[in-house]
Amino acid sequence: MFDQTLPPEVLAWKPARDELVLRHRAERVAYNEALNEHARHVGLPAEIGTEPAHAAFVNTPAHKAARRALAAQVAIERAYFQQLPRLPLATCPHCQKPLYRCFDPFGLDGLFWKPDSQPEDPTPCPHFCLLQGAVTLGDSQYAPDFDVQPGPGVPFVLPRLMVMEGMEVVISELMLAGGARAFPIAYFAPRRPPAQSLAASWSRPNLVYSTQLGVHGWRRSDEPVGNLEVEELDYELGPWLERGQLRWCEPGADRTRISAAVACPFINLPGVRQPQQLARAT
Amino acid sequence: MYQGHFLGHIVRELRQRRLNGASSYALMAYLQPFFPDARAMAARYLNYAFFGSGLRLIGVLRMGQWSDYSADSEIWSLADALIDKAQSTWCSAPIPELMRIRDYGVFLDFARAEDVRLLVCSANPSAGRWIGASNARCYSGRWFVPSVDSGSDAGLLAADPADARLREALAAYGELSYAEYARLLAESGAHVLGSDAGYALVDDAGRRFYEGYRLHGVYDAKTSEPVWTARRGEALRAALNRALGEDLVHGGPHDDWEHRNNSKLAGPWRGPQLPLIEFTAEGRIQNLLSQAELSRLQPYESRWAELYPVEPSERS
Repeated sequence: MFDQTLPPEVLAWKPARDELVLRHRAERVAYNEALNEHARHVGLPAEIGTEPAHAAFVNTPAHKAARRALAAQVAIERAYFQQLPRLPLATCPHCQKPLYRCFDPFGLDGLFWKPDSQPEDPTPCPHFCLLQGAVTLGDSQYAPDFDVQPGPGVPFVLPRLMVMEGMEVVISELMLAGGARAFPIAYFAPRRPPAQSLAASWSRPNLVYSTQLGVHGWRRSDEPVGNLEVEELDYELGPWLERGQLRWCEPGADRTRISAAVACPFINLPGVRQPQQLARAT
Repeated sequence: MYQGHFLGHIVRELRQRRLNGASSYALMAYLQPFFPDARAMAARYLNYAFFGSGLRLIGVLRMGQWSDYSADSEIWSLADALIDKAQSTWCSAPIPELMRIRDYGVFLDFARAEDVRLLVCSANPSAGRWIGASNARCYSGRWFVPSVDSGSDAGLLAADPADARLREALAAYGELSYAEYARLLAESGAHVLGSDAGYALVDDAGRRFYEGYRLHGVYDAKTSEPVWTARRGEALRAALNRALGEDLVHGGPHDDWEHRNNSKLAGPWRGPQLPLIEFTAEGRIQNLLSQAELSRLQPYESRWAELYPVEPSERS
């Protein structure tokens, strides 16, 4: 079952996407086997030679095979991320412009969900601050080649961000192939807060930032900020709705319009109220 | 062309052989196949294994060809005496290693491809055999968990409350109680089994954990500027993990970590994390064993006070 809002060209990508995921898996296995074979041949070296001029350089057929498999993975990832759909996941409450982001709606085994993946997203409106998300896994059974951090099982907000000036959050919904239900959670503000004060994006374990003063830093998504003891996730959305800071796109719609309804469909959803982790299958 | 590397597993092997009674003559014979036409390189290796810096052992072993010194030469007994005199020092001297030999090539290739200097924290070489195993996975949690050094579980993580490393870590986290520590681990999906299971750390499916790699610093080879930027950082991490064949790097460099000087949050990871291994774009591998050595190294020399304001550098 696919999300009914997906356009035909996105649905048509599914077979190619599945093939890329399978090929990537095969090349990764081939790479590891070849590199282990090469390592067995090298044994316990006293030096490491990476070029023919080095005395310790050992060029085995296995090493060549490993390089080929590594290059193949790079090529597959390039193709996957180039073809990855750019979907509307929310709409800015300030300028009404839809937020388009790279997204793999066909399951958590897609390379998009790999914690270190860096897809090239379309340029958002100037109010966009951050995209986080939640996934109700339900009975879905994905078998990713990597650990996936899909977020909690139900929508939430970060109170730390919600107290920033003019911050509003927009929640929407997208069904993933395989039965999971995804909830994009997008933050918008009239003026984007400093990068270091935000949080890690959806399914990414780290916030890596460069400040306006040129300072580079990073922290884990589960590490507190400033003087806080913990990074709190608030699942009680009612109060934020009452304060007028919580908006949503209607479930089943294409997420290009903010709902004008009064009752929010994302409040008090049943599900896991803590960050989840889907361990790699193999 | 020899590279002048001193690799941890060879140093460990040389020390173990000496403890098992191998003479300096036997140790040099062990090194000879690695340096068949460069006896001086072997002498340097031996000197490094037992004395680190300086030329003490090289002065005794002398230069020359492999055929210049037979087993009954007087140099061997002199070298043996020198090594034994320093035994208490070299027995406890740390030497950094990687989890797998193949990873040395990966880090070197990465340094060259990205034109960076890469500093990697020492890891447990016993963990290498678990990487990719179906009954184990890499730990990516926030809390320090010791890696077992010996026995059938060597290379796996276990939270034995009697482990001195864990006791020190809990103290470093601000006197965190063991019960609270175990609860925090469980909250992140890592459960500590009982004493009968060696306090093994397992996931929800019962799989054991092994450690990952911690990067210490990644700097531009030419400018010495940090390269772990918002634009480039995670792409570098992805490239490293791809080349390692497994997601073994879960965070950015320690030098850029926001909490590196925050005792309560960083716990045992507060301050510089020695020993470590530097990989350069030119193919150099260098072990860094002390804070003095690290603070002397460019790019640390000019920004030590900014990176680690409470840690003494070589000059202070």
